[in-house]
Amino acid sequence: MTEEGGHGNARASRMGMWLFLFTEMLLFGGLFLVYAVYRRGHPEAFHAASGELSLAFGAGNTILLLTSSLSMALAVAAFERGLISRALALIGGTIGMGLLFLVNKGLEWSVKFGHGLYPGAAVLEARDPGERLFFSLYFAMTGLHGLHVLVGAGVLGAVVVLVRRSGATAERHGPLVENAGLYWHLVDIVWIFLFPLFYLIT
Amino acid sequence: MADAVVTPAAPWRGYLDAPDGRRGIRSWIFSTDHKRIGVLYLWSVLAFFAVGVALGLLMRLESIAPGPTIMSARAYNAFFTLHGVIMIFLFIIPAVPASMGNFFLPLQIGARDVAFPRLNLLSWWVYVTGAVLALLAMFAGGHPPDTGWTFYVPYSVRTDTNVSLAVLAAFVLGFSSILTGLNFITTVHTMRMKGMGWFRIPLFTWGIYATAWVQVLATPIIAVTLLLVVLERVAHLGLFDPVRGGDPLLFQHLFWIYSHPAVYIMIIPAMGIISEVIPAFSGKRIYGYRAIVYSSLGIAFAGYLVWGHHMFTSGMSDTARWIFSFLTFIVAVPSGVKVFNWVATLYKGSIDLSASLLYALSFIFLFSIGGLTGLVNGALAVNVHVHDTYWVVAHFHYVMFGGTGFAVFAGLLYWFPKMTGRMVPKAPAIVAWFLMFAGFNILYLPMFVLGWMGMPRRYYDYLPELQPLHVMATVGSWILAAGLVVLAATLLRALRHGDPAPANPWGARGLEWQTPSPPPTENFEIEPVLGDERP
Amino acid sequence: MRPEGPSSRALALVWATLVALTGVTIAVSRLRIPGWSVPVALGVAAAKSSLVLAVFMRLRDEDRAFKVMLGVAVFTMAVILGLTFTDVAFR
Repeated sequence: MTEEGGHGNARASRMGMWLFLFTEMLLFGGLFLVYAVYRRGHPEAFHAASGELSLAFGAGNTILLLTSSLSMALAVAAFERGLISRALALIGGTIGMGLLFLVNKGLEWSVKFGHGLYPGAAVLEARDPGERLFFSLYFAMTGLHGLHVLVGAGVLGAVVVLVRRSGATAERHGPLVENAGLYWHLVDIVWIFLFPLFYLIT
Repeated sequence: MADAVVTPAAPWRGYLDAPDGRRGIRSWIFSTDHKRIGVLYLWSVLAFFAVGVALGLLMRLESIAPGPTIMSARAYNAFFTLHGVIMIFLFIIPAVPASMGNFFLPLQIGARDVAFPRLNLLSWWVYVTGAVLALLAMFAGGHPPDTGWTFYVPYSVRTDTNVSLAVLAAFVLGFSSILTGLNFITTVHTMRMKGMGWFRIPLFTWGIYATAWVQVLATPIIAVTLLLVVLERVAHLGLFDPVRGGDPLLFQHLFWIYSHPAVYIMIIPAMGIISEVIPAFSGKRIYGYRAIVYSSLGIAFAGYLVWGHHMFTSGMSDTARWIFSFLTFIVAVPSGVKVFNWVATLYKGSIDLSASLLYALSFIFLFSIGGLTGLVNGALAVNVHVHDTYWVVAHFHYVMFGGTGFAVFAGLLYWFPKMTGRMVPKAPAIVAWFLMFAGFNILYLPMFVLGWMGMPRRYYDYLPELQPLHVMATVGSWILAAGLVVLAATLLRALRHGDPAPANPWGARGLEWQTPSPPPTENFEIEPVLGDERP
Repeated sequence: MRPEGPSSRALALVWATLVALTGVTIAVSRLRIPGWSVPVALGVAAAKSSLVLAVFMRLRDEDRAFKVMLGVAVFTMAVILGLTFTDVAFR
């Protein structure tokens, strides 16, 4: 009775995923709105505070996430051609790079905490309000993004286990692998915006 | 299909008999049948509606006289907060889409189910989780939240009441709403029966579809806003704290960027119900089908343009104030289109004055009062005078209760035979309608006057000269409640003892009437015919 | 049905472009050209995300409904930002 046959289901599942991704876009969108308002109000303070972030860490993490996205796209392509074990290895690479991203993020955060640059710390409280807002936004936005990386890695791990256990075929698990990939790419896109907005303020 | 013939010994129960023979509550709470999930939602939202009504009645009783009457000021603050949270997040947002939308959207487009049945069930469980969290915020020790449902900073960050829990509840409920929305959008795009082009989709489904877009694109904003409130409370980010450089107005922006479109999540599906009920009992097709479709989409979009009118006295820039005031008037256009089309449909129709139609007609009347007083609020200069008064309380109760609430009852009476396989007796339903309509106006009309005289909303106490109107409103609340009790009793009795319903008791169009009442598990045993069935 | 997905070569090429664009945005930010840093940073970020959307996420192979939907979401975000700034920019 449906409009389409089997392919309709794959299309429907991708459409559902895209709609979910829009909600993620708008979720971060709310934070970008807060960021835009405060950056407009405190341009100099944002510049000064941005100078305290490590560009090397930021750029390195950017390359890491871009590469993990490539690996994910290759995995989806391999899965579609029936190269299951190759696809699983590539997904493993994506998960590894995602976790490495989180390790870097953790190091970066702990350095900032060491310098007393976190909300409520005496060092930061003594500074310009704009710098306080910058670091509050930095922790809120990279924290929420990091949480998404963690969830994404978890989802990909679950996909690997599921596919391994049930003897995958490109048809049965294709939409699952592809949707997990879509989610991963969106997390990448969010970082593509976060990187210049926090690390490259001049 | 010979075996589908009804025999007296085993009356036709359709989806009410679970296909695998399971019985009891487990066959409901773990079912992925959209009809069963719709019924689950219906019971849930009506239960919370009853709680919200009880809180409202107690608030009215407190306000029957100045000074303390039956509760403390602190309890009163908790009461209006809980009344708002329950009515908004637990009743009115899911009331139509998740219950009747779930039940009838697939039927109306000739589908077996929604696109993601398991996600559908999950969304009900997420809703229940959110409801439990909301109940915990009330009863789990400490003080229940007293911020109002709007959770405005800085108070919501500073108060020692259970705000974090209440905010978390709203966050979880938002997630449920998103899942429902994306499921419905995908269903409409991918599961319409052959031959059903976009402009053959019934108007109720169109309403649910437009609403689903608002659910998907607006809810994330409130999610992140509530998250920030929790972070403010826990990690002291200072993003909304003026002492630390933050801007409390930004919270109000973010809050209303969701909460104004959310008003349209509440009203567009209700308008969809009215667009089904009016033609069914006028013996005519709807007048101006396409105009109604476009006006649904138009309202959904315009909902994003007007949130600033909640903030006219908050200290926004003058530029923003006149822009938002101007944009607010735009909403009146698509709403006016709908009212015009409904009335034009009634014109020269052969009208069957059923209880359902009486509720629908009251909708047009009450919604028009709510809508026109909305224009008064939207006018910047007048708004400064009536802002945060009983005038506003009266206005949004006319739209939300007189509008959406009455539409829920219109839809419930219209589709009750299809959902349950039983007819509702006409006379008691009309008595209930009369009590509700009278009680509603006695309750809320005085509030317009009170507000105009300067009675602020959410106040525990008032000047003695305002008492007569307060007494009138409280008496109205009793009449309204009596009507609700009569309706509930009528429906509950009909559930067991109503006459068996034929497939199409009203002679209505729409595919849901082509299948038996109640429909079988996969909706249609014979492929429905999309003949000259344009709504 | 959708056309076949991009080849490994095409994917690698997109990746190389993304890395190169990252270099460009860092380099431009170092030049400190007044007034241009935000537009360039956002422009490059938009270009990079478009590449990810179109090729990695295969949006270019999807039918029109998907593209319209993305447009609606982006437009909504733009409306929200724009209207908020009618307040913030004129206060």
